Amino acid sequence: MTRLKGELIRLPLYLAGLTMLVPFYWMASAAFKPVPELTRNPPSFVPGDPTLDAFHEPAWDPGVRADQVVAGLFQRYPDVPGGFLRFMGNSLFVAAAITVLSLLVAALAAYALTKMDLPGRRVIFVVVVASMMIPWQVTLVPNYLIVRNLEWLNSYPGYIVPALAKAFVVFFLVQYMRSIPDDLVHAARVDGAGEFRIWWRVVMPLMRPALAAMAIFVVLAEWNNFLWPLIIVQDDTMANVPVALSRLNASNAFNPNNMAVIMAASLLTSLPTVIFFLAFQKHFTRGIALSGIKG
Amino acid sequence: MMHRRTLAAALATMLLAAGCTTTGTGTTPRQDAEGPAELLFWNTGSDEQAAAMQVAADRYKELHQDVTIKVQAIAWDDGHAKVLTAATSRSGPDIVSGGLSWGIEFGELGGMIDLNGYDVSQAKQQTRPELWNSITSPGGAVYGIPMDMTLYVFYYRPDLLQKAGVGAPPATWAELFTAVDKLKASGVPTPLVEEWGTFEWLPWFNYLKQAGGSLYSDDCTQVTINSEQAVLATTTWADQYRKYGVPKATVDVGAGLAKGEYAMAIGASYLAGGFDSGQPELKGKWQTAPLPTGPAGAGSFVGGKIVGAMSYTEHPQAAADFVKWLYTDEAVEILQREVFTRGGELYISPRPELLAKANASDNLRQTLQTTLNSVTGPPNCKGWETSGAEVSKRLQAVVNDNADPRTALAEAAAVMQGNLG
Repeated sequence: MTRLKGELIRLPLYLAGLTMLVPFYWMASAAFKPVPELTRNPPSFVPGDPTLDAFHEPAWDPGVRADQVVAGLFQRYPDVPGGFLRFMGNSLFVAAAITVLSLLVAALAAYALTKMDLPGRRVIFVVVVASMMIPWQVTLVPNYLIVRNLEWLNSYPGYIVPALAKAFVVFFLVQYMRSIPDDLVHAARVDGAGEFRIWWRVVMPLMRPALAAMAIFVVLAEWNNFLWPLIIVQDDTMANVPVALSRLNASNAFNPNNMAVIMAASLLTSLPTVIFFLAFQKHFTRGIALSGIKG
Repeated sequence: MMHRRTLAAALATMLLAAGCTTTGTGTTPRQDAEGPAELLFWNTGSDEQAAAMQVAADRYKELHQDVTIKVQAIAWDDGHAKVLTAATSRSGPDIVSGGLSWGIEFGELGGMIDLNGYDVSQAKQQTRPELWNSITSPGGAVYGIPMDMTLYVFYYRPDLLQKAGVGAPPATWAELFTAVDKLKASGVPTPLVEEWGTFEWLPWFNYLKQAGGSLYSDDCTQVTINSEQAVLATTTWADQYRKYGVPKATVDVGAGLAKGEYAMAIGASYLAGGFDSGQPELKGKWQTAPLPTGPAGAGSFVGGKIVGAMSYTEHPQAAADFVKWLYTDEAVEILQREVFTRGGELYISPRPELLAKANASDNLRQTLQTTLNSVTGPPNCKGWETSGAEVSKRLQAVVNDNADPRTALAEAAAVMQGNLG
């Protein structure tokens, strides 16, 4: 009886959870529907005749007009080596590079601000924290002009370098690093270790939970990054997944026949984040708890 | 979270400001760099349209061995922001296509070449004057020439009209609203819908022209939006929503017509391409007609795309030559065929006489031909780009807040006058 009562109390939460799952299910099921089923009225909730045509349509011929036959996702972007997979590769590489490098940079900064006798470190920390209050859109144009002058438009450095300085990550790691006893660092210094060695061998292993939490946030943010890539990418081969998806959606949405392709692309785009979340769910929730971030 | 379009708009504004410090005088013809030209063409629109344009570009290469053009699609949603970044940073494509007003906007920023230096007189001769006027800057510069057109079309279901006792598609405002009442009485839930700039200034502009009004004087020195004709147009436009139940939100016209939920639609010509393939049950059940006329006769907005060369291109002559070549019979024929084959869409060339060869039914071709006789493009007057959204807001207030049309138009005129300078 008590259990049933508990379930009933949780019922609204289940329903709320369901509302979040339904769009995902709709996307996934639409990706496997044949074109005629996409416009069926009333719509089908389960694909009656599942197909992979949205990914590769054998009947598609660019030179022949046929109703309800559209190019599959992997038949598009003929000028881009690898097609849609190239966009996924770009996203994966950029997200991974930014995550690794920005965490290293932020951890070095945090170490300098907490464990070294750096003159003015409090002021520096306040400046870092204060920079979080500047909306990122404000820095967009200066960053763009700098990247342009460096001739990094349409390149991986243009993607990666401006994203390496992350004030929130520094702030978070500083807070966490403060919980690591200074005695450990002093002991290492007495033993003759240099600062870089102490940072890498003593402090970084103790920072793993915080680094894992931040890594998840950075990876997800970079995987979904849209506006910066949109303005620096000038050639399809350098596009990331959100930019490619946006273009696919915006340029084909008027034709319902393309919906399965758009959904297939959305599915492929969201799968890595879902897998990543499921694999690192524990760290993700721990990261939220550590940082006090609220949804 | 800010919407992507909002972000793109904010970015566009910021870059515009930044552009003021980074632009120079890049609009005079430059000497072409030596050697073969490799040009990048950003074609605003769908992937299929870009693929069709690539076929044309490949044909151009056969005729001009030393010029290679790579066509890349950019979406309408993000296209403006992308071209703006290219124009202000002097980096990006050699050729772009985009909205009719983009040429003047980016050209005045120094981002595009004035094609007058490359003799576009033949293209001017072949294009409807109303359209050419829209893309010519007040100073006479032509930064991009029309590439294709989008017209307003009146779509309807003859069977539903007949069932409601409406013998023919409405030819006048009065007939239109009578038809709405009859269709409503016959059980059609939403007799009339509107698409392409729904509940914004675009469809209102049709009523303005049909009432005999205008936004500015011909020489762009006066704002004329607060005329009596505009009041009549605004009242009629507002009554669509207030009295006749036209939805204020964008709707899926094809699906609604197919289900019989809608019987008539005022929408863009590009919709026609998606009806039969997107809604197979609609095949053979829809027809088109020119928009109903008002007290001043017929009138309709014409939109579309311009194509032009960027000012920083190293091959301005080659870029301009290709832009002009798009007006040839051969290029138009390729685009008409390929745009239809790849996307099922209708390519309407700025050369009206070539409409006869477009992949469309006789009924649609006739509608477009008739409509072309009474089209007006967006104004080329200074400040209209920034005024459009403000005008839409004042018009919407008439419907949403029961604002007096005269007051709303006076406010719109003040905004336009301020932007006109």
